[in-house]
Amino acid sequence: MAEIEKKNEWGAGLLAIAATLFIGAAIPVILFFVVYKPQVQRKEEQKVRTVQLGTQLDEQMARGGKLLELQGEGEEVAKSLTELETRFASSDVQNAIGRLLALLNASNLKRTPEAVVRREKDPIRRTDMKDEFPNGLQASMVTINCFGKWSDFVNFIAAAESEEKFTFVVGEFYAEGDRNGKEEHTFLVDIWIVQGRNIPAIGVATAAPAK
Amino acid sequence: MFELNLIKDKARARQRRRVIFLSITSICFLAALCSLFVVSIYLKELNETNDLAKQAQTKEAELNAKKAENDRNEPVFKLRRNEVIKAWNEDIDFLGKRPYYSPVLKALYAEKPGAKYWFSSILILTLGQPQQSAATGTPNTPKTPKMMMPRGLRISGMIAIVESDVRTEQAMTRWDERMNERDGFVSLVGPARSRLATATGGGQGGSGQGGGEGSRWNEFTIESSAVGGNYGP
Repeated sequence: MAEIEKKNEWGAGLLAIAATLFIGAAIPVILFFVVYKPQVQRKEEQKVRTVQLGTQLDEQMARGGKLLELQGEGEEVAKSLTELETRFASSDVQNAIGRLLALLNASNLKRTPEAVVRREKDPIRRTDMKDEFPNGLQASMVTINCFGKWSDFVNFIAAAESEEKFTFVVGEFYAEGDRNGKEEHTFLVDIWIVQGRNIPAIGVATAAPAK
Repeated sequence: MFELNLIKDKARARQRRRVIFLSITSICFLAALCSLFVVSIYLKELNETNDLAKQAQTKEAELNAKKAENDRNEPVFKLRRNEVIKAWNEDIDFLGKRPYYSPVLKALYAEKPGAKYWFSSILILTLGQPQQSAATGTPNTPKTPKMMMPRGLRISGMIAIVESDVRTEQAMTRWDERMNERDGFVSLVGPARSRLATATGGGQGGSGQGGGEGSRWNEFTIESSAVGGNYGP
């Protein structure tokens, strides 16, 4: 009787131990596969995403560098353009007109007898005519009606065309010889005064660039 | 004897229970230990994942800001550079092709009229109008600016015909040739062609007696026009 009781007691005990062993081993295994493994996967995904973002950021940084080069290139050309346009008049052509007057006086070209009668102040008349190039270069026209020797007029045109501070382009030209065979003739000439551009405003969009 | 066996059995039973209890406790302890280990490495991974997520978030914000900045700057910088280059090219093109009148006027002065002929008027005019679209009437791009259009020359004057019209015409042709050899003349106004006006009889139509013994005055014209333009692609 005692032997049977002893056997039963061991059987139950061993069963309990086996059950505990089974459950006890299952818990960490379940935790490993259900909690730990997905977390490792999430971490790997996050790593890949961080690397991708790093690569994209590097690409954008490189793009930003190239854009700065592009901007530098533009400003370099703008600098060359500024140097090139030192020979063009400002938007106010008054200085250029003053220079033309000085050249006329230096070349001994006078007002026509008709202009003297009409008491016109000087031989240069400003007009509203503007000439525009496709990419923004502009010129204003003045008309010169003067009287003098052909050689003086040639010298005046040569001086105006070789002027360094301004650019004068001769437009339509009419010369009428003196009917009495004298040496002084009447000249009517259109002169275009080429005007410099507003270089800082060229190609500047309404939205300012981001800092 | 029976009592002694009973005591022994009880002691053995206690011993068995103790063994069973200790075994179960040990197994539970080991299971808990393993579970704690798994939980600890899980927590470590979780922290690292959170750190990576924060880094990614920072990088993403930085990336978005940089991308937005680049997207905004790119068209602005490109437009500025392209427009400035266009302007520079236009200036260079203009300065290279601008018309000069000095060679023509100097040529006319060098070949100045004398007693045998004189100019009554000289006209240099721009030929044509800025290009316009035939269909819409709107200006085409690129249009030719007025000051860069081709020029034409028209001179009218009087010449004394001493020997014959043919001789005078030959002299005028030589004059044309001399003018056309001068630098800058043909490029501005094209090759000169002089022409004697048809004589309509003494004292009429601009022709008349004069210019000396055995000669008569006749009108002449010199015309030229440049082909094409000074400007444009």
